[in-house]
Amino acid sequence: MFVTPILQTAAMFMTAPTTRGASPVISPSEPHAASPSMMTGSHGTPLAGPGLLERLRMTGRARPQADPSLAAELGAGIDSGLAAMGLSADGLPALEQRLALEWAPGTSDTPADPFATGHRDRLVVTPTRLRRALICARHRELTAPSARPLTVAMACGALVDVLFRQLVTTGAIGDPIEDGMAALAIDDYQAPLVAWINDLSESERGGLMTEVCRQSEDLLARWPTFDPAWMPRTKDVLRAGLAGGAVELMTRVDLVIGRPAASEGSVALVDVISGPRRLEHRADRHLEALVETLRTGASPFAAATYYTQTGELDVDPVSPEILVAASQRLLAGMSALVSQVLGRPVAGCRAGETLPLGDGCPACAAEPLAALARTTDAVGWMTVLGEGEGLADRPQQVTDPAHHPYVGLSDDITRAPQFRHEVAA
Amino acid sequence: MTGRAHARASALVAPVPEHDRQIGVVRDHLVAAVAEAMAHTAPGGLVEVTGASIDGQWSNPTAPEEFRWKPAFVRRSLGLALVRACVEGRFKAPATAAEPVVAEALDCWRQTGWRTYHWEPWLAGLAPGARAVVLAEAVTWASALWVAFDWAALGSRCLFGAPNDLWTCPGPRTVRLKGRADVQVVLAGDAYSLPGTSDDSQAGDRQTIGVPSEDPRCTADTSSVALISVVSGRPGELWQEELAFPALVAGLRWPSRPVPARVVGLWPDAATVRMVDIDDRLLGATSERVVAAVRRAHSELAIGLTAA
Repeated sequence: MFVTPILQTAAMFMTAPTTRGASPVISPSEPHAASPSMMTGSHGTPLAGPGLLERLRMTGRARPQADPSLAAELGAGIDSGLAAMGLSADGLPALEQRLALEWAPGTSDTPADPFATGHRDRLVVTPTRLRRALICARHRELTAPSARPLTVAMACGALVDVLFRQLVTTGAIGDPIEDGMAALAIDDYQAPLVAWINDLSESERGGLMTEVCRQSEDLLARWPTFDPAWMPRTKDVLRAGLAGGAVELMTRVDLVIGRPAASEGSVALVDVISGPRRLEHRADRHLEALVETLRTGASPFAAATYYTQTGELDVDPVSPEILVAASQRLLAGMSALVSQVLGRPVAGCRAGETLPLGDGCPACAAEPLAALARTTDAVGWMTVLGEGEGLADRPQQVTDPAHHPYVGLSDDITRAPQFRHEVAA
Repeated sequence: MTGRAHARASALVAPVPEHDRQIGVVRDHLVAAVAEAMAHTAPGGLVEVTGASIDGQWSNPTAPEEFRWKPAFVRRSLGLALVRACVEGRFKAPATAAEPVVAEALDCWRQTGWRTYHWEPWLAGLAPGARAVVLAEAVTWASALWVAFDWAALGSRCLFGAPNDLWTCPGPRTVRLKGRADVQVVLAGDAYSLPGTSDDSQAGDRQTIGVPSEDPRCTADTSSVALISVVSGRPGELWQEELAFPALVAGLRWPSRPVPARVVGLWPDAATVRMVDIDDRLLGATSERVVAAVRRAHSELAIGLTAA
């Protein structure tokens, strides 16, 4: 049985809102009666209901056949690149410890990176680490977890994130603020954020509530209940081992749908972002597709990003070319990461030779250092650096693809069999 | 179900090769080795060894955190209840089972009293948003287990969420082994006759969700069993010993019963399923890892004492 039936079944009802007591009434409007900002998405009117699911299910390409040899080729290519960088099992624990210092809990009021501690026997590579490795030193410093201020936008992102999860799981959202705050407060991880929200001024809190309610209303209007056969699961952790287990790719996907199948790609990955659309989100979802391919041997058929602010849904059919490009970006990031930690260039694969410093920094392209230093507000890039938390930020900034450090790599897309030889060379 | 899930189920219940499983010998060796490892430790608090300890993870037992319920603590117990409800044919998938199963659990708790249960009172007091987080964690956990095996092929052979096996090693300092298996599968002989698991009782009483009030394995005393263990992270170098650990503890805890003959590990994060057959060699290797874990604990205790 494949993950998604040929047609959605009769169970695909539009989600009805649930209201309780004196909670503000959330009245989902008709799917097409979206707020003006939603109408300005690049795809016109945001998708809703069956149309949204159809967009996820039908990518415009045939679903990829499960190809364990492709996964093996990708893994071998990455392993070869890591070996060329001189990474060994002996050296990795020390690297991990040095990285852990950067992310150690207690260094700031913000939550610690949950992925970066407790692993002494392997180097854990998350999307956040990879992004941070691929920006210049100054941006990395300004956007370090210890320098990250909490903002209303980040709070909005965290609240919408848990509300989306609630909607997928229960099919209903009551009072968005009440439900969202209860979800954030359920354990200590978000305790600093919860305390920060509770200390907001009345006007700030009012603004936060308004935006959260608006996005919650849009979620209710657009996301129908999943058919159980789609096996929706939220915050799914994906891990894949590299270099004989010395390196671990790890990511957490907001929504995974589809039952793993042996014959063809039957899983779709969906990231949920409450901030504006950015080029880096594409790289993130491609990395997730790579991790899924490496760990299961079958690539997902789609990698998507849903923007709660606008209702936009970007869906990429997953192809070998995308996976190869993601592998190359991974190697570039690994090379940069190791260079940064060791304080010296690391010889290695072709992708890793050009470290993304200076003009090549995607963060600089999006937000010049001068502007960042003037405001000392690193929020702009916090969206990019957030760990799938859907962190919102300032109004959309244009990221020029021409300045992207791995655009060139993407242009040099190669077939998987060739990739092996390129890395070896 | 996919062909892969069916193949796993078939492999799980395939005939087990004849192996020696002399648990008495392993026990004697383990007691002696642990006593030696802890020889110069002052009597004190509990040292607990779990499956995670086998793989080198260790938390200082002298500084336990105050226990507080979290969604992660509930997902296994509730997740198993969801899978069980699906195996019984009551629901199509864990996602649809979540709300009704929780409602039933809370009803049982309210009717029966809190002492029989564990997470139900906590969950009952949560606001809807927080409760949704718990459900989401459980559904995600259960979905991985649900799709991993062809449960229809296993039928009533399965027992979900049996109590942890505990075995205390005698010595100057209490060393306790805690083994946990998420599902037990009867390989031969009668299926379990638990309320709600056998064919003739599906419409009747239901097993309590959470910790069963008594050890249900009494009906399978003479049957060989396999264990399914859901493990976090990725399999490490010692994955065989980690999988064998609950079988070892079960054998130590219930010396009159057959040692579990097979253990299947599911690592959902890594989408990996591996299986080991239990024999004397593996039991011995696992007991060596237990001793190593105890030695690590001893070292940390010594460091802690020096620092103090």
